[in-house]
Amino acid sequence: MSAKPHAIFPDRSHDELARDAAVRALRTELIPALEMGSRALFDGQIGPRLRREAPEDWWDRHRIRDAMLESDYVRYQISTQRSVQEMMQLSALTSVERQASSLAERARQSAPRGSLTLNPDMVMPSYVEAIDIHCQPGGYAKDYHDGDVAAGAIYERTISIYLKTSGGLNDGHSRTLIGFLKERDPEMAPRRILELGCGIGNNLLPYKEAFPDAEVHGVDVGAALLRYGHARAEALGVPVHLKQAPAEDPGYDDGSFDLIVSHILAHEVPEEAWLTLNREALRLLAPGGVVAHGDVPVYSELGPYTQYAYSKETYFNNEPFWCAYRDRDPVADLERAGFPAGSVERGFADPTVTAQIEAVKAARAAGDMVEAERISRRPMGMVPRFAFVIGHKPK
Amino acid sequence: MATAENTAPEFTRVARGKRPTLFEPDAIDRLIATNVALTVELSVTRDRLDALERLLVRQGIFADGALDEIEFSKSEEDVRESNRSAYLQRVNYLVLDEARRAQAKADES
Repeated sequence: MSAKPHAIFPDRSHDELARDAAVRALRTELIPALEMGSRALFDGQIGPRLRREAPEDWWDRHRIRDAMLESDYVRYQISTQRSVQEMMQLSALTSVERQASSLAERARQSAPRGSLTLNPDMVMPSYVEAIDIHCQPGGYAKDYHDGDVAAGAIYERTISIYLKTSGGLNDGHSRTLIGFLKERDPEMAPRRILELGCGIGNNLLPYKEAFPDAEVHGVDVGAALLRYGHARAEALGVPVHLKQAPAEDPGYDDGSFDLIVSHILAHEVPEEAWLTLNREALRLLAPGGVVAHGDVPVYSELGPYTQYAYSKETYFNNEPFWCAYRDRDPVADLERAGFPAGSVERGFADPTVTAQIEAVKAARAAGDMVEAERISRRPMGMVPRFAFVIGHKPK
Repeated sequence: MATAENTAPEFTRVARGKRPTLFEPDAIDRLIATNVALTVELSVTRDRLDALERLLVRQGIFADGALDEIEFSKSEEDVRESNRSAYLQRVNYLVLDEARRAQAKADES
């Protein structure tokens, strides 16, 4: 058995670890290799044909998708990718299932330093119940039994595979955003911080480390995620306050927070919820407060093939709002939600990425989609994972 | 390892939301799913065999590399050969049956 990152992390037998490792190998080796083939197919055959047949709009991602899906190779790739995602979920799920009772027992806290507030009467947003995002069977809000922590345990197991960390703390998203915020404002000292859609709190805990004097809160709709997250935070010795509430209605007083954040939440909610939660964030912020959402880049920041390549998530990963999110403009969204014009900015994890995205946008504006795609691919095989939108409440 | 008796209900294994169909007939998607699952399970088995071999070496049951140097007697090799053949028959039962039927038809005419 390998070392566990904290005491609440599920046990893994030899075969369970081996199963995780096999899925991780498929994700890191087979899937990128299949994608290289798809890309070569586009560059060598499908792209040139589309440019001949539809010089006006060959770069439209729907057109590219339709052309790509004519290929057996591409369909085999996507079907395989879907199955690998399902294997990842089943590998985690079957392991957590066999120890569900002992995990629930282990997660009970007698003298917590932080807090957990559940609301059994909370109305679950309909989009949470309609489809299990990331193919996690039962979804993130599933509650199997008294004191259940399974959804949280499964989630942490799968992100340990997905993020290739095999049992780290999987907090790269918030560490990157914190670094970004502190670089812009080294004097930043929020007294109260709120994370929307905090899940198991893996991205919440670094805020307590970065701002030790702050009171750190997180809300999410999933009770089992929060029970697990509460026990996890206690096991790691980080006092945070978790509450069961939708991001659209976290239930705090006006001006309660100096910093409100979210990590990869924006693409998991429909447009109306996204606008509502930003209107609510504006209300919850104290004057001079900041809202900062970290997510993936949107389509207008990517080249045409890269757009298509990432839109595949919708098919194989149960991401119903992925494409709709990527079609929007996050800065305009926050302004629509009430943040004053000019008070919202876009930012990326580092200057190289910022320069890359600006060059892509310039090429797109000039109508040079071939160039936009070429720049999108630097460095080879990578797209920037961290794109931020930052809103400021006037002082 | 878990100690408490597990009394939790059985977990659901299928995610809500339509599973994409990439192929017509969609049985091909099912075959791909099984292929991925078998790839994972074979990897688990290989890891387990490797772990077992390392454990036996560590405990001094045999020397490192001994497994690769083993020589089988003629009778042992015969048994292994026959096991391998039976295994291939089982794995390829469908296509081998088709081949046998085609041969029978050819012999008739």
